[in-house]
Amino acid sequence: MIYLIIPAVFIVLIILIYNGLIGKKNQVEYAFSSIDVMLKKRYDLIPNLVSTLQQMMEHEKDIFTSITELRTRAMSPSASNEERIDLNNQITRSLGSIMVAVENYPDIKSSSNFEQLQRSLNEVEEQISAARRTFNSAVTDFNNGIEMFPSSILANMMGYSRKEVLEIPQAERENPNVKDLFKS
Amino acid sequence: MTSEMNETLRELEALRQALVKKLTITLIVLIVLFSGVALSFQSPFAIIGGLIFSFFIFGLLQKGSASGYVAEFKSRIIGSLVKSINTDLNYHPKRSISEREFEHAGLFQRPDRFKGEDLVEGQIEKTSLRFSEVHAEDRRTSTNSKGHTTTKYVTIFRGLFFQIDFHKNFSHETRIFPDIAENLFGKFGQALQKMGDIFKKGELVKLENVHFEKEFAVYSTNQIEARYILSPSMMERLLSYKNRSRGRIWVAFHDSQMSLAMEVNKNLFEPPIWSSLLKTDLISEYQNDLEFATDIVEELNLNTRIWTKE
Repeated sequence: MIYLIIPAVFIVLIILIYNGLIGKKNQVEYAFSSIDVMLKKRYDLIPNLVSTLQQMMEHEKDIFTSITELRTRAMSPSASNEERIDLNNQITRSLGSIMVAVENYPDIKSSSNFEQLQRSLNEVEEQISAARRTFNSAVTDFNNGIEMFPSSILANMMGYSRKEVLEIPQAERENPNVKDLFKS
Repeated sequence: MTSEMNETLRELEALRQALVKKLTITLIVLIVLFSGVALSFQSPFAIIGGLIFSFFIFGLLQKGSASGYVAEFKSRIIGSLVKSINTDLNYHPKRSISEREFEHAGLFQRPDRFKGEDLVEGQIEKTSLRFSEVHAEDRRTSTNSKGHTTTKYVTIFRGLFFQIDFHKNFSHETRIFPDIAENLFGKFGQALQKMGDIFKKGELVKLENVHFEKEFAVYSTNQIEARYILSPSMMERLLSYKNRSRGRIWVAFHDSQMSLAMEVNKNLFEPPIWSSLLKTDLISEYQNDLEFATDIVEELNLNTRIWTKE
């Protein structure tokens, strides 16, 4: 009897570990696709922002051209995941410099249209940040799974390797300073 | 403290002294009456029984005869303290957060007995909030070997319960519990089983703030939204508010609202009966309790409305 039980327990254990690893891997993929969903929301806001501001801020024409171009490149299906993340970090920086530039245009700052747009952007930025943090948490979980004994043995056989967490851009680590945002 | 409030306090102190006189006479009469009856039985047990019985009756009477004084104190002192914190806040001594709201937050098991009082509601700048004292209990019936059944009530939660408008929109549910390890070794094993049902609502969310993770366990029906609500700064703010409160706290985020339960082991906003109202620190104590409660809006930065919710 005991000769039957031991292998049975062993097999069940392997199945559990195997499924656990698959679950963790899928979690990482799901979390990554969630970042895409949030980034897509931001792509949708950019043309709106550009058209609202471009005419009133003629001196800043370059930023608008570059952000539009970055958006097009980030949205193109040929971009790899790494490229897309990198392009989006650039978009984050460009958006930041637009917001700084708006400081010189009190008319724009006080318009309700712009305020609404800024609110939507803040929301999307915070959602992107939340999605990145979710992704990093899933990656940490996955990495723990493939490096800890005994699941590490199985992970090795399945050819799984460590995944990299996303660098959180400096701007997202800081708390937004409301006084700066709504300074009039 | 204003001179007007000083005047009110002196009036109330007169009320209190009259009450104390009345209660003392009642107590003496009761003791004489029951001891007299007990003495006629000529047994020491009867005398002790008589004394206990008189104190029991006295307890009931005290509650009844003090109610007028308590109501007067609450509406005049606590009421004006609330107004002094923010004129947009109103105080209702007899009302409370409803049992439905308490249950809807999904933080605790369904109570069998629910009481509450001292509701404060209104608006602090852009954030509307309501909070009250709440006492939720569970009925436990047990049968001993002789077949006698006894019923007792066990506290599920006692303290302040807040219902606050949150500054971000969201559609899923996220709940924060005091860390489970603490719960596991706590005395309410049975309650824990029932809590299991709540935990099924969503999955564990692992957050990157180590101190926060040590104090709390977060469950949510959506991992990303949980992190959208619990931004790094929100985690810090909740932690510091929790550290100021000294008791445990539970938080639920649902329907773009926030419910927060804060454990407090004393009956707040009650006037003293057997000691003077004119003690120097008395009023500032009530004021501190109230300010601590209303500070929640500032502490959690809920008036910051830079997202689409206005």
